[in-house]
Amino acid sequence: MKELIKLSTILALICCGAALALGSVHELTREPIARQQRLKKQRAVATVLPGVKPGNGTEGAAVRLCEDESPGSCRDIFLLAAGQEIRGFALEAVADGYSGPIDLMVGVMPDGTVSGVKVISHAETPGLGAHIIETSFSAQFSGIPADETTLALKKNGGVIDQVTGATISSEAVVRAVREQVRFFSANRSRIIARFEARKQ
Amino acid sequence: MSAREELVRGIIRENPTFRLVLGICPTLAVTTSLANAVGMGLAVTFVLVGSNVFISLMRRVIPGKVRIPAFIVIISTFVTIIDLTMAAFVPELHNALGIFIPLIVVNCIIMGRAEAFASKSPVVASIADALGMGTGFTLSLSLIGSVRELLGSGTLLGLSVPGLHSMPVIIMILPPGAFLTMGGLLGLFNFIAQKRGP
Repeated sequence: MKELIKLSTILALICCGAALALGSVHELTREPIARQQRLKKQRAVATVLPGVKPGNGTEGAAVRLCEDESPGSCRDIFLLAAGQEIRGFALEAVADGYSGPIDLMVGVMPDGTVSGVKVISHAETPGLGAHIIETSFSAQFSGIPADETTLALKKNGGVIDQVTGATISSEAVVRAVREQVRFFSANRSRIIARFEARKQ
Repeated sequence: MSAREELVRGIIRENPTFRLVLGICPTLAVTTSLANAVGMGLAVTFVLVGSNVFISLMRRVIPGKVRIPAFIVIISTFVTIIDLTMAAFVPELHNALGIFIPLIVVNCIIMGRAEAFASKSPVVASIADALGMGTGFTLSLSLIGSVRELLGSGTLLGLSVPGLHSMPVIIMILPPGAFLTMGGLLGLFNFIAQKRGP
């Protein structure tokens, strides 16, 4: 019994020391980590709408909009504006990739035209699906009107050239972009109203 | 044994990767490029030094019966420290190494050095041992990472290498490439060791 108490006390003391160390490191790194994540998003937002510098309403918290009750129907939307004029919106999307989720940022102009697509993170096969990050693939989305038949892979009657040997990855990105455009078109007035409301 | 000998031992004679064949999971998984390999090697070295120092300092306080949980708490503390620090200051590398940073906790090199060396040795020798083992691990990973990046992507540290860049052998940066490289290098080092005699 005496030994048991001794052993537990020593272990507890070690854990206290560890907790103290971890607490302080967490405190020290919390702000830099949050900043890195914000930066990453801002950079992605800036790349999907060319000509708009980050800093115009993109730093502020994104507006969160849901279609219905389920959490899966919600997404964060960033506003891209030049002064008072709304230039476009950036929608965060998650595509169901070949080997895990693909995080995307989709830029949409006020009329629903796709302005740009940026892959934020992915776990696709190196050398094959991983090529979705290359601009030769993602640049194809820029300027495609909000039309569900054009916004598809070429073999499905659309205009997007798929990444060679990576149909699933390419299709996943295309589907996610299409979904964002559909969401935007369906909720356009709500989205604009939300941003207008925040301005005041 | 002098501290200097402790330091050199981990690099060649008891190289954790090619002589002891320990810590193979991260070795195979993250060596898709030289930069990843160096990052992983340095992270493991940091944890090794930290845990070896603390375990060596506390070797008379920690009772034998609970030494394993005590070691694990100490090791995982250092792993979490390096995990958070990397997320804050080198996010790209942190992203590339992903789950394998938290998994340093169960890297058998670290537990092995704690149990076999630091828990029985004074602090200076433990630091030397950790630095030696860490360096050996980093060098081994860098070697595997270089081979795989050169053949698999045709680049080294992200810079394209003429002649190799035009036709990369993609399999080398996929999981089979890790086993092929590791096996080839292990065979080579065993061959050299045999030639040189025991």
